[in-house]
Amino acid sequence: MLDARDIRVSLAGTPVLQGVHFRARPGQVTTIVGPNGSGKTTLLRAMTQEASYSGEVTLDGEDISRLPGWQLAARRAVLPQASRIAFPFTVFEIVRLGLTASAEAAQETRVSEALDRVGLAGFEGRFYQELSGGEQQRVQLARVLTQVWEPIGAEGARWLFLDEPVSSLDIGHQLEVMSLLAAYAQAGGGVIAVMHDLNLTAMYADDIAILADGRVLRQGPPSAVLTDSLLSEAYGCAVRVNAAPEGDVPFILPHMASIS
Amino acid sequence: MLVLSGLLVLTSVASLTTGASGASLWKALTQLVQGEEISLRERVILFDIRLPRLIMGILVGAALAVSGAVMQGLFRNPLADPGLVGVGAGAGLGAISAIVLGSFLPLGMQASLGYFMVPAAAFVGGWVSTIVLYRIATHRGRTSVAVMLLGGIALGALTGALSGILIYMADDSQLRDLTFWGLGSLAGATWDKIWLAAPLIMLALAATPFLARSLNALALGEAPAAHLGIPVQRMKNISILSVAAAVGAAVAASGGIGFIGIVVPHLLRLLIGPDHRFLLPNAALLGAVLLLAADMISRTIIAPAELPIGIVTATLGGPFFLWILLRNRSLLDL
Repeated sequence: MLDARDIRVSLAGTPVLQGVHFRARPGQVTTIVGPNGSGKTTLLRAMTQEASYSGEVTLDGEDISRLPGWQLAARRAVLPQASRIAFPFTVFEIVRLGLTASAEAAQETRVSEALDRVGLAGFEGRFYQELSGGEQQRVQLARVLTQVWEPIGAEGARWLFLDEPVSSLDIGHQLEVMSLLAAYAQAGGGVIAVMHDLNLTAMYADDIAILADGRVLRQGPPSAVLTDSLLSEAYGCAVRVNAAPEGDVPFILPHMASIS
Repeated sequence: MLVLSGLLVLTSVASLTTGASGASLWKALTQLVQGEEISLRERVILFDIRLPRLIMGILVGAALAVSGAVMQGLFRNPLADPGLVGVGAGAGLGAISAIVLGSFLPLGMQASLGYFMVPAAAFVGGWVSTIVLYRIATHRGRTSVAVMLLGGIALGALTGALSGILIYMADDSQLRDLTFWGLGSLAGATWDKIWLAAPLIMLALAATPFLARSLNALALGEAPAAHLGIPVQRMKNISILSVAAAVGAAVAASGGIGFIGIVVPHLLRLLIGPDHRFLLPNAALLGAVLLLAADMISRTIIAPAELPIGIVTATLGGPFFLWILLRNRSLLDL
């Protein structure tokens, strides 16, 4: 269980998060949604100690700021939004970095396994810098996966923190990656993802926190969060939640004519 | 790595047997290996002139090349070099201050510092300029590459100006000492200097294998490296301290020798890739080989006179560096 209480972050004197409460359970995909500048990424950065915050973040009851880096690395992997690499490393070398931080004693064949999972089988020898943005994003995901390969370790559930994991992917790979994350949660791991795409969120999230102006408007299951009024309030435009013809997965369409 | 080790042995032997004296030292060396007596003159040339020079060349070459590789990894920039970012200039300023201002210190202090004064001042100078530059370029825990390079130029100009003032104040014998710093040479290598420089350089080089994995992770950026469990701030401190120690000692011992720190890591990345676990030890070997080779050129090209080695490395290294840049523009991604 990840629990963030009363998180406050100011960047250059401007309050970005103003007392955010957020929690995520292992076994679930928890997404953070909200408009640009609402503090989604800042919340993720606070929970991964990339931004200095006031408040408390605990992982299974332990304050994360007191855990040493190597212990955290064994339990939690973080996918950044976009990554540039300083030197001409190959895909294999990048993914292998995840392996060196892993608590598991795994063979280097794990690298190929991870690449296969993100749909990049055979990319081991390619230069990272020469890949497209979407391919680079999936290489990073493979690296993060090798770091916490088994969803449950000796020390408890393992966690994936992802900042817009599908932002530069085409629709096929979006579904592939989201299914992979859902499977990770299904197997007992924790998944926390900042998401832009409300429809993918509707399809895959078990729990949604919606942010606006540095506060959590509501956190709960999709049925409670993906409502016309809440989304319209958060995003400042009229949207309507619809139901897909099959199943009860909601989908959201913006209604151009009624932008206020 | 094996190839490079072999190459180092070859250049070492070649370095021992080439020189201005023109003596057939190859014969002397084989006699020595076979356990035969050699003349006193040959013994002096071999053990008191050539051997310290050889060892100093290996130490300085390894120190400069490894420092370059570590700096580039730390700054995440293939252009970082102890010379380009002002560490060398800072160490030079320290050494110049010691030479020119050392005589103003109380005699007792001069005596107790003795030989240690110039290398210690070079060490402190290099260390201070590294720290200052790092502080300037780091804002909110993020080191800006552009600020680092521009700051290095500004800092280099400032230390250059201070050095200029000191040179202006210097007397004739001090000026002769100072010229030595500017151009760099292994000619002054003595056992005394080796005993001073070697421990610092060896200590710094011994620390670098522990940095290899961290430097690899740092290529992803500081935050991702931290998420991989790397104690980023600690490894930064170790890196900076090691580089300052190695470069400070190298500059103190042999003056400003440029381009080894930038050409060697580049060449190796082209040959064996950027993985620091292999890059750092190979950089030590190739740095030593190239510096010995440059030293042989500097000793023989205008024999019996000597061309300062800094001129040789800059003449060969400058065009070579440009060639690398032009060839790999797409991979640099600044």
